[in-house]
Amino acid sequence: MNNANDIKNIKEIRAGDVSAFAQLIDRHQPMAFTLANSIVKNREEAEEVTQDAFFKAYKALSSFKGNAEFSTWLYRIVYNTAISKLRSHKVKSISLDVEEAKTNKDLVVSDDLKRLEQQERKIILKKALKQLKEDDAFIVILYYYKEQSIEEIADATGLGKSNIKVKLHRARKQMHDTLKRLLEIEPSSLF
Amino acid sequence: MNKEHKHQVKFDDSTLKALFKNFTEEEVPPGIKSRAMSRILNDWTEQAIGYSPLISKTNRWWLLGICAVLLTVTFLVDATVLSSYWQQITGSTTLANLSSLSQGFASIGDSFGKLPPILYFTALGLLALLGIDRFLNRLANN
Repeated sequence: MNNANDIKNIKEIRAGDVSAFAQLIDRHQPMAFTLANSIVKNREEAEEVTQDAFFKAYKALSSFKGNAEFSTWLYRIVYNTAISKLRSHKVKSISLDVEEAKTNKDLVVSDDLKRLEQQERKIILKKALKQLKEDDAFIVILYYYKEQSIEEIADATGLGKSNIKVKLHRARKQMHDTLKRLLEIEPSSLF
Repeated sequence: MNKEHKHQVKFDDSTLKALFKNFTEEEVPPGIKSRAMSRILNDWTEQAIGYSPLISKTNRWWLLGICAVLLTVTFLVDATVLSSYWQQITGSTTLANLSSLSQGFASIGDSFGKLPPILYFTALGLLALLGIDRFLNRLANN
């Protein structure tokens, strides 16, 4: 349904009604901003990246053929813009010195998560995502939240499918370790 | 991949899936839309005004055909003018004697002239209707 509305707006823009782009922004800015922030990990920079990405999307709209969903096409622009921003600032990703989790501790993480309130789980998840490497967080959000397939994520990032699988596996493992570490802290201290 | 490792990956996946049910998109700062639209509108106003020609490439052919027919009819009616020009330029009728050709054209032109004017008006009306129809279609498609 969203994609049908996107296509309608794109036709309007191509016919000269530029103001229709505002509807595209309304529809996609929360996800675009979330994805940008997952990479740059800074709200001000994510704001800049999102603005730039929308402007680039407008400029490149004639190249959008409609083979993939508009959102996937937009996420790719967000991804490239955010990565460029990151490279220009030479920001180093936060590395965690988390000890390797032991297999027999897996159930503990799950049980601890179940005990947490919804709001606490939300905060813990955001913290864990923030610890991930820039493009890993982007991929994890598309995979687990947007429930996109590996193919769609490959389209959105321009990375190969096998590369996406490796990154997902690594991110999954790191998230598990981070969650375990965060759950060792008293949940109340997370706020 | 051993059985234990498989179990871990599967377990992590379901745990993460469950955790992401509580995930919400970030709250968007208020200025993004207005600033992005401002840039877009600035860019749009700076662009030269472009338009797609009303007569497209496909329309061009049948318009050219109509023009060619009209020109031929005009020429047939008044082919003698061309013959007299030729004589003026060359001063001779021996190089290219167009008199028989012009006589031929004149007779065809005369036969056109004998046709009742209603035929011309009907043909013109039909062509005008076709033209208006295509024009309105084009406007509607835009």
